[in-house]
Parts: sequence; structure tokens; C-alpha cells
Amino acid sequence: MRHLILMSFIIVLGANMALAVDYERLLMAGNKHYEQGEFDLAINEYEKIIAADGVSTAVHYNLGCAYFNQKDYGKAILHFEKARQLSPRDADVKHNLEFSKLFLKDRFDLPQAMPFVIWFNQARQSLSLLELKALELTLFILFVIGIVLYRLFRDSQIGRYILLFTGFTGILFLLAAGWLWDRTITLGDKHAVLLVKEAHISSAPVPGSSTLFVIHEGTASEILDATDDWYEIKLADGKTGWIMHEAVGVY
Amino acid sequence: MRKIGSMGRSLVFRLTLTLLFISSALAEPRISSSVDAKQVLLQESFTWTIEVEGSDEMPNIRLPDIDKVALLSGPAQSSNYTYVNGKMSSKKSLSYTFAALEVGKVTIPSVEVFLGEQSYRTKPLTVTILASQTSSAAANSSGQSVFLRALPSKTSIYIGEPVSIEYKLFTKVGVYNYQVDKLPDAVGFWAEEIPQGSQPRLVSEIVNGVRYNTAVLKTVLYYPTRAGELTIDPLKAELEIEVKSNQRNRRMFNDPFFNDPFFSGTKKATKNFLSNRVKINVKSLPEPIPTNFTGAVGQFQIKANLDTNAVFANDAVGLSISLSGVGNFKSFQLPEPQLPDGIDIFKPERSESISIKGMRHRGSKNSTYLLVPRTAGRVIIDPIEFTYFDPSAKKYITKSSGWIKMTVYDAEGTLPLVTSGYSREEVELMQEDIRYIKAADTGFSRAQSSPFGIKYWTMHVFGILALLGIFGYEYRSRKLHGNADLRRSVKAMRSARKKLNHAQKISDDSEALRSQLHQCISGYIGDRLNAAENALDIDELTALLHQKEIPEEIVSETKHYLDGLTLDRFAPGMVKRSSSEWISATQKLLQDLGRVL
Repeated sequence: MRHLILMSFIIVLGANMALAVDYERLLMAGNKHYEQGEFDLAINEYEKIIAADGVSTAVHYNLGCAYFNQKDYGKAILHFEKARQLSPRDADVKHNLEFSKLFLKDRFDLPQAMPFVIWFNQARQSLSLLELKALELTLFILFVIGIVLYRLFRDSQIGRYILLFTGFTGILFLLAAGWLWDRTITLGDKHAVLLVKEAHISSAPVPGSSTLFVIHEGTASEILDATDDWYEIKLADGKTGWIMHEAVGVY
Repeated sequence: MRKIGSMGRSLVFRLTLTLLFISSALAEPRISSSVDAKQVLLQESFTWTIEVEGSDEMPNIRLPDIDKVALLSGPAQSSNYTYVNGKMSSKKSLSYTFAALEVGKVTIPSVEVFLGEQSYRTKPLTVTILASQTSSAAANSSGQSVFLRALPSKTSIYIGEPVSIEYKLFTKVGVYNYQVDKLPDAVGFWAEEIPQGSQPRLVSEIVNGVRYNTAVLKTVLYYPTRAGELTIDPLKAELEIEVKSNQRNRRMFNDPFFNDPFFSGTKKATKNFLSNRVKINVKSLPEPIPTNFTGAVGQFQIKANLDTNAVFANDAVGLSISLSGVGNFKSFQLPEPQLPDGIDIFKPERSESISIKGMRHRGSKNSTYLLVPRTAGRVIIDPIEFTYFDPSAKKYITKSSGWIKMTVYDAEGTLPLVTSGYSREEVELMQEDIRYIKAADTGFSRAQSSPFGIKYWTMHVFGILALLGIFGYEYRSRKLHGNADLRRSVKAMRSARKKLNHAQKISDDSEALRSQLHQCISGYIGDRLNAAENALDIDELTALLHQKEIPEEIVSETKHYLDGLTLDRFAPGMVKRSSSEWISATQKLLQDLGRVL
């Protein structure tokens, strides 16, 4: 039994390391174009990776850089956001995302949050989904191993230490599981970035409905609801309204 | 240089004479025009001279266009003063030397000669250019021993890409002097001569098995300005060469002794030579031409910066744009900055420092603008972009200067007014630039529709199965060990209460109720003390309780209760207690026992 668990654990951790060589080559080709200032050609190569279901921080980050240089700030922010979801602690991604946001037309003057709240939110975002899954799974497996060991060595001297260890990992596992649950819930709440220069936000998901307000390229919003063609979005300042699918990129 | 020197000298001389003979009256000036030869051979030169006598003024003419000849040198000015019989006369002359290029009659038209404020006309002259058999033969033979070649660096180029042409002299005879007065005509090009050392270096070279001494007389850079098959005309050079004086028929002594090469000797002769025409195929730049392309061809770098990043509103700040590199600097303008609102811009000061290095124009072009920001706040100026065509890479390249940023301070305060809602962190961020791309990533994965894959859930199922397995194993092993006593002990109170509840449900005041209560207490004690309950009589129970060192009053209470109950069961009426009284007594005893057992 223990063997089986250990084996499965190794398989899960190793699975994501198996890579397609093709992606690497396309990335290199894109980078070469980028170095020569041919951003449109670089974007072509990077987008090929994404079209082939390739996901990596570098692809989204480089794509964001290329779009930024084309002054396509909406797409730049979309891809920097995607890169940040994959690597939340990457300083370059964070810098470029924040730097790109300086070029947005829409600015929201929001009250400054409490330092603790800011810290908590940062901590909450500090692990990527993949890392969080690995953490939760590792703690779960340690907890299971702990229980098994306790049952086997309950009557011996080390039984008490094993119990202590198991209880500790059990608590950590519950915290990680909660964190993961929170993350999948917030990931489930998708965000939208406006990709067109300007968009009129409608009062209803019906063509020709009245315009509530206007937003500009690169402005991000939370998606509250969706129909086949429309998203209901919520801006940082709390305004809500409807926008057509093709005007936004979702991350 | 020499010309200027002689002019300077003549000026001094003239001034001196003018001072000495200031009183002498001047006669009406006489103007004459002449050529030194009425007939010339093709490729030879002749000189046209205008002489003025009796005037202090240097004559001045506007040179007319003359067909079939090319100007080799001129105007050469000379002054001559003579003093005869107490009278001074002066003679001044202007002379031009032409090379005969085509066979035929050449007319030098009547020209107007300006002397101070007066003007005079000359007579027209004609010169005949002959193409004699001897001249072409001589040209051929001398063409073998001396010739001039135009050697282009490339023959197929793009518009704006320079071609360098070396005009190289090949000679087998001695050359004493040479003169090239002007660059050849090249329609569709602009040309610039590459300066070279005063004396061309002689290099030995073998052409078609014959050794020649060669020297590059001139190197010229041509920049084409339009596409097509363009022609660069021949270069004309006047050479002073060594020729054999083999005019034997003129010799006075027809003696073998004087026929010796020592006496036959050589003499100098001045001849004109023409190089070959050069045809250059000029390609137009590839389509599509980027919209912001202004004609720059070469390799360039652009830089733009402010002389300070922090200014007060209404103060001036310099924005300098500098383009450096290699290419056709003369054919394009620097890009202009696109400024956000609220900044006044003034006409730029332009400068350039361009030199020829390695057959190419190399250097930089700068323009410095004066900006005056009118409102306080953060200013970000779009990168200045410059697109050029790189002929070696055969493509258009756009270089960007990067963002230009400055902080404009309010006239009174020292802090920038954050008018547009930027936080302090954002303002700090503005000082920076976008970071560069990542070179590689090994962390590729496949996009998944759901955040949790099958592997993830499989791992959890394995874990839960492991837990279930361990509990199942535990349960089975307990059963095998038959550790039922412990369970009985754990469950003692629960089963006693069950029995008590059961007794309460018996409605009538019967013997069955009392038997149930008896079982409740004796069963509880039996379960806790691990004894067979039914087999116990009151004495055995009391003995067991004594064994467990239960306090004496509880033991006697238990004994008293059980005795009374037994009596009430088997001899009704002996004990006056109702069923409800028995139940409450049982509850109390059970509590007491539960505390001590």
C-alpha cells in the first residue's frame, strides 16, 4: 500500500514536467523576431503556441511584451494577467502588468485598503493554482501516511510523535484545502479585459439597449453573469453593465 | 591653393603699383579673346584666354555652355604690369582650358566681359576638333600604356544605398602630374568625393599579363536618388606623361650614334584621358513601404532624452533626438516627437556631424527641441520611432527611443501635483520601462478545460482508500482479538440506561418492572467489573464492590437497595414502595455508582 501511494505521488508531480519540444522552438522563433523589433511576427509565433494549447508563463509574458510594444494595451494586460496566474511571484510579470496599467485611460480612485487586507490578499495570491494543488496533495498524502504509521506503531515509543505529526499535517491539509477551494472559487469568477479602444456598456444583454457608461481599452472587470453573446461585468468602482463577448478577453 | 597664393601676391603687387602711379591716367581698355589652337585632336586640350589691357579691374565673365568640350580647368587669372617710357601699362587675363570630347566645330560664343561697372563684348571664336587616324592610333597605343578605369564597388544597389567608384590610373610609362578638375556628371545621383592623401600611392598590378603601375586618382561615393539603369559619365583627367621623342625625321644627325636610346630620350606631354562610363542598376525599395519610412537607408540607432527629468511648470526643458549610424544622412529628416497636451514645443536646433569612413557616411544627426510644460504632473512622451531600410538585411527596421518621462512640478511647491489619480507607487513606476522578454521557459504545460485533472482526483481517491483500508484492518483485528470486555465496559452505562427506560415504560406496578430494575443495577456493576451478570447474587456483587474499594456507604446503599428490591419482588407488601419510587431510587443509585465505578 505504501509503495503504491508513493508511486502515485511521484507520477502526479512528474506529469507536468513532460513537455512538447515544438513549443520551445516556436518560443525561440518568436523571441528572435522580438529582438529584431518585428513585434507582429513575434506575436504570430507566440499565438501559435497558444493555439496549440501550450501554456507557460514565458509565452504569455512575451506575448504581453510584444502587444505592449504594438501599443495594444488591452491584449498586453490580458496576457500579463494570464502570466501572473501561472507565476504569481514573478517580478517581471508583476512589473510589466503594473507598468502597462499606467497607459490605461480609465482610472478608478478607490479608497486605500487596510495594510493587513492588502497583505492578506497578496498572500492569498502568492501561490499559483498548480503550486496550491501540489501543496494540498502533498499535505493530504502526508496526513494519510501519518495515520497509517500511527496505526502501525501506536503501541511503540514513537507512536506519540507520529500522532503529533499526523495532527499537524491534518490541520495544514485542511488549511491548504480551504485555500485551494477559495482559489478555485475566485478562478471560477472570471475577469474580462477590454480589447477594443472603447466600448459602450449596455443596461441589458440586448442589442440597442441604452448605454450606461463607456470604458476604454485595457480596463479589467469581474464577470458576474454570461449569456451566449453577452457578459455582465462589474468594474472596480462597482458599476455593472453588459458587454458583448467579442469586445473582451477573458482570463 | 596655388591659385589663391598667386592672386594674393598679385593683389599686393597691384596695390603697391596703384599707390605709386596713382596719377597716371588710364586709357580705354582693350579686350581680346583668343584660343591657343584653331584645330585640336580629339581628347586633347585647348585654352581660351580673355585679355584686358589698360584696366585695373580684373575682368569677369559668365562662362557660357559650350558643346563638345568639357572644362578641364579655369578660370586662371593672371596680371602683368609693364613700365615703358615712364608709362605703365597693365595686362590682365582670364583663361579656361577645355578638353575636346567630340569631333566637329566648336563655337565659343561672344561673351560679355565685366570690368568694374562697364561691360564689353568679345568676338565669337571657332575651334575645330579633328579625329585623325593618327590620333586614334595614338590613343590606342597610349591606351595600352596608359588608361583610366572607373571601378564601382557594386553594380546593383537600392535607392539610397551608396556605391563607391574608384577612378584608377593604369600606366606603363611615367606620370609626372595629374589634374582632375571636376566630378563627372551623374544624373540621378548625388555624389561626394572621398578625400584622400595628397599623393596617390603607386601599386603594381598585372592586367592581361602586363604589369602596370596603378594609382587611385579619386574615389567618389554616389547615392542614387531614383530607380532604374543609371549612368555615371566618364571622368576626365589631364595627365602629364612621359612620351618617347622618336621624331627621327626632325633629327639633325642621321647617325646611328644619335639613334642610341640614350639620345632618343623622352619628353613630357600633357594629355587628357577619359575613364569608362559606369552603368549602375538601381533597385527601388521593396514593397510594402512602411508608412513612417522617410527614405533612410543604412543602419541607424535612435536615442531621445531630456536634459532634465524634473522641471517646474512654464520652465523650458530640452529634448534632444539623436540618430547615429551609417547611411544616406542627407536624404531624410529626423522624426518629430508626438507630445501630449499641455506642452509647448519650439522649433528645433539641428546639427549633424557626418564623416566618411570606410566608404560610407557615418555620424549622427541631432535635433534639440525646447519644450515648455504648462501644467504640473507626470508627462510621458511616446517613444520616438525611426524606420529605415537595411540594404544588407534587405528589410525595413524600426528603432524606438523608449519612453520619455518627466515630472513637472508646480510653480510654488516642490511636490508634483498628482492630478490624474496616480498613486505614489505608480509615479515611481513611471520612471521605469517595460521589462524585456523571457528567453526560454521549460514550464510548458497543456491547457486544461478544468483546473483539476483526473490525476489529481485519483491521488485523493488513493488516499481515502488507504484510510479506509487501515480502519478496516483495525476493525478486523479487534474482532479477532475478541476484546469484547472493553466494549462491554464502555457500553455499561448506556445499556443500564436502556434498561431503566425500558422499566419506566412498564405501566403497571408489576414484578416484571422490579426484575428490570434489578437487571439494570446488577448488569451495570457486572459490565463495569467484567463479571457474568446473571450469575451474580447480592453477596457476590457486594464482595466485588468491596474488592474494587468502593466507598462503604455506596456499597451498603447498593446492598440495601438490592435487598429491598428482592424482597418486594418475591414478597409483595413487605416493602411499602411504589414503582415510581423504585425508579427514582434506581436513577440515584446509578448516578452514585457511575461516579465511583
